[in-house]
Amino acid sequence: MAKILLVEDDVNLREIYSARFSAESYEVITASDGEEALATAVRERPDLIVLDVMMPKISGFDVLDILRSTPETKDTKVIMMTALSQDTDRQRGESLGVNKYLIKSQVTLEDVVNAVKEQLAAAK
Amino acid sequence: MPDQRSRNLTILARAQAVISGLVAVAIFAIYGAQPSLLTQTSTSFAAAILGVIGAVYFLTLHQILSRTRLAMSTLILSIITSINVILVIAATGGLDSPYYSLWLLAIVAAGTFGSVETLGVLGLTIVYYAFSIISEGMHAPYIRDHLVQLGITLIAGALAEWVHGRSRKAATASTRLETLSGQLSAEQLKAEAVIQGIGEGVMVIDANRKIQLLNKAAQELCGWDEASALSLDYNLVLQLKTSEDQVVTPDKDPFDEAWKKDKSIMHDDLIMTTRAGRKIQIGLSVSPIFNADHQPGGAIALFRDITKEKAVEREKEEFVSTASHEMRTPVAAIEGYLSLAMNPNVATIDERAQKYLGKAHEAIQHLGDLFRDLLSVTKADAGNLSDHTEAVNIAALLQGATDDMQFVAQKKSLTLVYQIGGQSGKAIAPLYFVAANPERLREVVMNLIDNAIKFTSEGGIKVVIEGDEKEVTVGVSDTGPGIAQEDLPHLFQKFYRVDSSATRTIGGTGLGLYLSRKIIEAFSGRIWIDSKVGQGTTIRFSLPRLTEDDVARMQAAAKPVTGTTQGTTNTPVEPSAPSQPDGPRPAAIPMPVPEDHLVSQSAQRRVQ
Repeated sequence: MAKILLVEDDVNLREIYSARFSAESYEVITASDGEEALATAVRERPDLIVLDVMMPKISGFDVLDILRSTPETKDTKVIMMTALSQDTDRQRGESLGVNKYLIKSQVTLEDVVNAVKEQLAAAK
Repeated sequence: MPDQRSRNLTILARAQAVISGLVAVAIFAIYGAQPSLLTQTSTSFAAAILGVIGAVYFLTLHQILSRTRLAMSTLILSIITSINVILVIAATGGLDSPYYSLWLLAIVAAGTFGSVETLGVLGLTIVYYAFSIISEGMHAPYIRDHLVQLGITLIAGALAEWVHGRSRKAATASTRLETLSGQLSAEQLKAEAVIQGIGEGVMVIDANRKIQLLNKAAQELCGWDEASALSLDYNLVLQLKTSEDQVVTPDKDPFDEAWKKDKSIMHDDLIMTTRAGRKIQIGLSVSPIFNADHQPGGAIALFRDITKEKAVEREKEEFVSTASHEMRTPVAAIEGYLSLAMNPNVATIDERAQKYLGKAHEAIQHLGDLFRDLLSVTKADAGNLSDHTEAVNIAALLQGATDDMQFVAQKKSLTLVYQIGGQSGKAIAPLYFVAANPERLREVVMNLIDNAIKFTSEGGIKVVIEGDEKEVTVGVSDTGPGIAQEDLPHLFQKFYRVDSSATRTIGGTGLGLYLSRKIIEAFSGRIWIDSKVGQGTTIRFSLPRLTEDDVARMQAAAKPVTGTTQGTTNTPVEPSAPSQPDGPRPAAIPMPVPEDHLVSQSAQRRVQ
């Protein structure tokens, strides 16, 4: 069973995504900020991280950067979710090695679930 | 003419008249009392003085002073001078007198006053002739000798009439001129007062860009006083820079632009450096002035300080942007929770609750769309739409967009056809490249197709691309109900919704077409609509076509895209009907895809 780390500072969205991922029978662990995300990622070794970009303390971009330079997590799949629809932000995510970059306003909950499935399928 | 000067001249004229009058009276008195005293020399002397005085008077003062004020003094002078000349002539031999020439002059001078005077003087002269001839005993030789003289006298009379005519014409003309120039200077004064009183800076330049006028507001704005700014190149005074703090290049010069376009132009993105070095944002409008032969003759510039307005505008934009971001968070939560509630794997609800939640879900999605469009419109109004412009293969973009929308069309049993080259049915797509932001352009195309599908209940949608060397035109036609003529002009306005039963049930934010227009116009294109009730609707837009060289240049300049970009999901708009086994498939917004899709023409993937 695939393990997903959900990093999201908004408590409602955290609950919504966890419930939805759980419904797909994934094991879901959550983190509410960047620091917690890094610690949890190294400890739990999730198969996939759903990462919010706009977070207090450490931004999603910085988290991704650190994940990619940490041996334990450098190959972990990362889906970034952001409100930033600027092309330069997308490019920044891509240059840091994101697996999928989703813009919140343009996707629905089901799209995120589909993206998760797709990434996990590709990992096998 | 100042009153003081006029008064002085009047006094001088009167003095002259009095002096010549005294001289004349003296001669008259001497002649009456003792004619023997009046020798040839003294008479000549008196005549000479009078002649000089008369000549000076007529040639100078009478011309300089206004005639009415001097009418009396002139009349007195003329009568006395005439009497004097008559006496001199009589004393020196009548018709044979050498002073007769003075008389001829007097006749001509009489012309200045009018026909009556001329004819009177002439009549008197002829009477004198008759008297002389009769008193000489009607000698034929005498008459013959003086015929020439009579002729000359008559010519003098004719000359006098001519002088009179001329002077009257000149007088009328000069009066008219005086009136006109009076009016003109009054208008000038008024115009001057208006220009100086205008709250905006006014600057007038000539064809050589030299400043001809700078009003008070302009002087205060730029810190230059008019005296030192006049005849300077306007650039020295305005010191315009673009909003990116770049010096305005000659091809962007607002005055050149106005002359070239032959119309008033407006700029609100310029920065002016004042004489003191302070930078202020100005709104500038330039109106060109052309000569009769359509050469640039100058220009009028109006400008004002818009620093504060800009700041307010920026604050407003930031507020709308922040607010719509902030509002999205709870909207996303509501949408998410509703999805969870409707998902049978997560929650259990009865059928009726499912239906209501489905409607709530639709409504909250509409709200989400509104926030999204509101944000785009704010961006559009701020003029940021043309960012990230690149060479876009629009034929491939259309192919991708129609492929993606196929699913939505099929759900309503509509056909969605993409044609290249109109009716001809040619299968080979010419390389239609345009300069645009592919994400924005795709937004427009998706929007148009989505609209067409929404408003069509049977038949189909046709997307057609055509083009010539200069432009590429894309048309999206539907077999929908059509749009009433009176609605057509308003369709591209913000929040304009055609009021009909159809539109009340069909979703939409009322911002789609407005945004489409803004986007197309940002890339120098235009968008228009053809529709008739009952005959469907076609919306077309055209964009300037890029040459191969343009494309090569733009692609070389573009940054290479790195990473593993994939097309994001394009879930079609289809509210309420759950189509997936794992729960309702919520409606989502047709969204932009990364540009590599467009350039490489790779197939659009749907994440499923």
